[in-house]
Amino acid sequence: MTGWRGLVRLAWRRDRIMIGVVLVSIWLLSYYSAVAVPTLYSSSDQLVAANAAANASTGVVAMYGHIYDTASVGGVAANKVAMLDFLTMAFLVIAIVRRHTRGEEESGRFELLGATPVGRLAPLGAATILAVVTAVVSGLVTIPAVIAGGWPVGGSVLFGLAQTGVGLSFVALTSVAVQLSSSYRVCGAWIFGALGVTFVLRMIGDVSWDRAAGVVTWLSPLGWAQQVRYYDGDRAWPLLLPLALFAVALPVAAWLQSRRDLGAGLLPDRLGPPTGRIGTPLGLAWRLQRSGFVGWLITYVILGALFGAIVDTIGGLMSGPASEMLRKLGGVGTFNDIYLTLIGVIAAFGATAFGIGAVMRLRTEESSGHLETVLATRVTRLRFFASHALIAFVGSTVLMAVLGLVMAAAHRTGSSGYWREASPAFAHLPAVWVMVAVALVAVAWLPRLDWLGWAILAGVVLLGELGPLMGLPSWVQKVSPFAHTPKIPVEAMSWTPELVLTAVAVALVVAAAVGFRERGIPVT
Amino acid sequence: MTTVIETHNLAKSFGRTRALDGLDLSVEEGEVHGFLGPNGAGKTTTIRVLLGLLKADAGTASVLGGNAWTDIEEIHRRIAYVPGDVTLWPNLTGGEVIDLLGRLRGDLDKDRRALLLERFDLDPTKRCRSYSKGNRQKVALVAALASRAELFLLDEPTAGLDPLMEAVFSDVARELKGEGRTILLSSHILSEVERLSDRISIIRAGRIVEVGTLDEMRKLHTTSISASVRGLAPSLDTMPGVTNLTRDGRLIRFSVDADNLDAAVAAVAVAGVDSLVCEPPTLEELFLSKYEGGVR
Ligand SMILES: Nc1ncnc2c1ncn2[C@@H]1O[C@H](COP(=O)(O)OP(=O)(O)OP(=O)(O)O)[C@@H](O)[C@H]1O
Ligand SMILES: [Mg+2]
Repeated sequence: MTGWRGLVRLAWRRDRIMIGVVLVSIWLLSYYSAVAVPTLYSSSDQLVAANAAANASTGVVAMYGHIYDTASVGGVAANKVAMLDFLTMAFLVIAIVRRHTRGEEESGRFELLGATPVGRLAPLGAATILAVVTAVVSGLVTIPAVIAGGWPVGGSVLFGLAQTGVGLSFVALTSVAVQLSSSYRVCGAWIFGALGVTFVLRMIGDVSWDRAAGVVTWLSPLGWAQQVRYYDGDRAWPLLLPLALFAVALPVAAWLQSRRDLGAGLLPDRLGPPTGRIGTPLGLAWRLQRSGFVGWLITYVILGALFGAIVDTIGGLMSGPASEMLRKLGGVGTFNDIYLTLIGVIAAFGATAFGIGAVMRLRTEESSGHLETVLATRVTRLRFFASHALIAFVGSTVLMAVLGLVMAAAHRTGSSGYWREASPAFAHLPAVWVMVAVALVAVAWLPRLDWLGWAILAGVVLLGELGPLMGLPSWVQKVSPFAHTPKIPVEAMSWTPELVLTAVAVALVVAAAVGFRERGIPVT
Repeated sequence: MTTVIETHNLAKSFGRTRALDGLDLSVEEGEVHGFLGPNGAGKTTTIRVLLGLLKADAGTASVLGGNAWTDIEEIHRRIAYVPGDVTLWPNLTGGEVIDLLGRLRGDLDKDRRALLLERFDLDPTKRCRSYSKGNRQKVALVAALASRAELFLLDEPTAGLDPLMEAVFSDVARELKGEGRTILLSSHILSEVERLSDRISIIRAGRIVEVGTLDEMRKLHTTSISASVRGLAPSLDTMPGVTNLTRDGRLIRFSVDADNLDAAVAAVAVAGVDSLVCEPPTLEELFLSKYEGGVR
C-alpha cells in the first residue's frame, strides 16, 4: 500500500469535477424531492391515497419499491428519489474504482508507477479509498439536505446512510470485478451486469413483497438499502449488510490482485485465428460492438419476459383520489396501461444508453489511435462514421422492438391485445434517436466534450423521473425529447411529435456527419 | 521524374502551438526520402496532413497528383501508412489486424503477407494486447509493407525493433525501392535515415531547414570523441575542423568533422590511448553545429 496517498490525490485531481457534479446533483435532487411533498399532497389523506395508489401500481413498485406504511411522509417521493440516488451512487463508485484500477492498468500508465516505490496494492487501495470517501460524504450531506427539505430526522439519517451503504456495496463488488479480466470493457460488463442483476432481484422481491419470493430482495445490495425502510418503519440493522459485504469482498480483491501479474486477468489470453475475415468498416465496428450489443440484447429479452409476466399479476380499474395522484406519476388509465407506459419510458432510457455507448465507441476508436490507421486506407470518414452510427441506431431500435414484442408475448391472461401492448416500446424510438444523434453531434463537433452525450442523458432521465414530482415549469420539462413522445397506451397515439422528432434526429445526424468530415483527426 | 509529394508553405497550428510553419517538402518518385527532425518538430503532423487527417491552415499539399484533403479516396488507394504511435485493437489477433487493414486498403496479398510474417518472425495468432512493443510495431509494418502501394508513409517505422529486425526492415525497404516505389521515412535517428535514404529533408520547428543528398549531409557530420590518453596530443589545438575541445586531467573530449576525422584520430593515437569512444552526432548537435558554426 506504500504510496497510496499520492495515488488518491492523483485520482481526485482527475475525477474531482465528475465527483463534484454528481454529488451536488444527488444532494439537490434529494432536497427538492423532500420540499416537493407538501406541495403535492395538501392533506394526510391525500398522502395515504397516493401511497396506496403507488403500491397498487405494479410498475411503480417494480421500479421504486413497495411502501409498507401508507402514512409514510416520504412515501412515493422518497422511494423514487432513493432509487435514483442509489443508482447514481452505484454508477459513480463503479466509475471511480474501474477507472483508477483496470483502466489505468490497461492504458499502461501503471507501468510507470510499477517502477516507483508504490506498493502493489496501492492503486486498488487508492481507488477504493476515494470511492468510499465519496460514498460516505454523499450520504452524510444528504441527511441534512432532506431534513432541511422537511423530512423527519430519524428517517433522514437512515436515508443518507442507506445511500452510503449502496456505495460501499458497489465499491466492494467493483474491486473484485476489475480483477477478473485483463480488459477494461469486460470488467465493466461484469460489474454493470451485476448491477442489473441486483436491480432485477430487488424488483422481483418488491413486486412479491407479501409472498415467499419476496426474500430475493435480500440477495440484492439495492434491496438491502431499501429494507432500511427510511420514513417507513426506520430499521438500522440492514445497514450492517453492506459493511459485511465490504469486509468480505475487499480482502478477496486484494488477494486476487496480489496473485496476478500487472495487466493480466485471471485467465491468460488464448491464441486466436492467424487470419481474419473482417474487411469493411461496418464489419470492424460490429466486431468491436458485438459483445456489448449481445449483452444488452439478452438483458432486454429477459426484462421483456419478466415485465410481461409481472403484468399478469395486476388488473382492475382505478378511481377517485388514487387516479388523481397517478396522473402526477405519469398518467391515468388502467393499471396495466400505466405500467406499460412506465416500462416503455424506462426501457427507452436504457436503449438510449446503449446508443450513446455505441457512439462513444466511435470516439474511443479515435482517441486510441485506431481511427488514424483505418482512415489511411481507402475508408472515408463518412463510411467510418456511418458504420458506428448505424450500430447505434439499429441497435437501440432492435432493443426496444425486442422488449416490446417479448413483453407483449409474455403477457397472456387479460392482455388488451398483442400490438397494443407491444407498441409502447416503439412510441419512444424517435426520442431515442434524437438523443443518440445529439451524442453524435457532440463527438463530431466537440470531441473533447464527448461526455456531453452521457450528461444530457442523465439530465433527461432526471427531468423525466422527477420533473413532474418536483413541479418544474413545463418548458423545462419539455426540453427532453421524451416529453414529446405520446405515452401510449395511456395517452392516444399522435404522429406529429414522432415525425418532428425523427426529422430533428435526421438533421442532427447530418450536422454531425458534416462536422466529422471537416475536422482534424485525431483529437486526443 | 515525377514528384509524388509536394507541399508549399504548409501551416498548421494547434491553439497557440505552431506545429507547421511554412513547410515545403518535395519527394520524387522512386526515392527513399528521409524526413528527419527532433521530437516535436512536426513530422507526424506533416504526415497527417498528407493523409488528409488534418486540414492545413494554409498552404497546399499534393500527394500522387491529388489534393491531400479532397482527393482522399483516389490517393489512399495507392498508399500505405505506418503510424508513429502504433495502437492496435487489443482483442483482435495480429493476423486479423493485418488482414483487416489489407482488405480496407483493397490489396490484401496472401503470399506476400506470409513471406513478411516469416521474415519478421511474427506470430499472427496472438491477441494484440499481449504483443510486446516491438511485435506490435511489426504487425503495423507487415500490414503496410504487404501492400502493393506506390507510396509508403512510414512514421518512425523501426521504433521498438531490435537490430536484427531493423536490418530486415532495411532489406524490405530497399527491395521496395528496387521495385520503383516511393518511401517517406520519418525518424529522429540520423544513422537510420542515412542508411536507407537517397535524399533527406530536415525539419525543425515546423519548417524544412535543409534538403540534400546523403553526401551533402555528410558535410554536416561531426563526430564526438572522448579519449583517455597518456600524453597531451597538442596538435589537436590547432587542427582544422576540431571544435569544443576540453581537457579534464587525462580525459580529452572534442568534436571533429568528417573531413578531419582520420587526422584527429591519428593525433590522439600518437598520445597513447587507454580508451576511446566515438559517437556519431545526435540530431541536436547537428543542428547546433549548423546554426552556431554556420556550415551553410
Ligand atoms: N492534436 C494536437 N494538439 C495540440 N498540439 C499538437 C497536436 N498534435 C501535435 N501537436 C504539437 O505540434 C508539434 C509537432 O508535433 P508532431 O507530433 O508533429 O512532432 P514529431 O516531429 O512527430 O515529434 P516526435 O519525433 O516526437 O514524434 C508539437 O509541439 C506538438 O506538441
Ligand atoms: Mg511523431
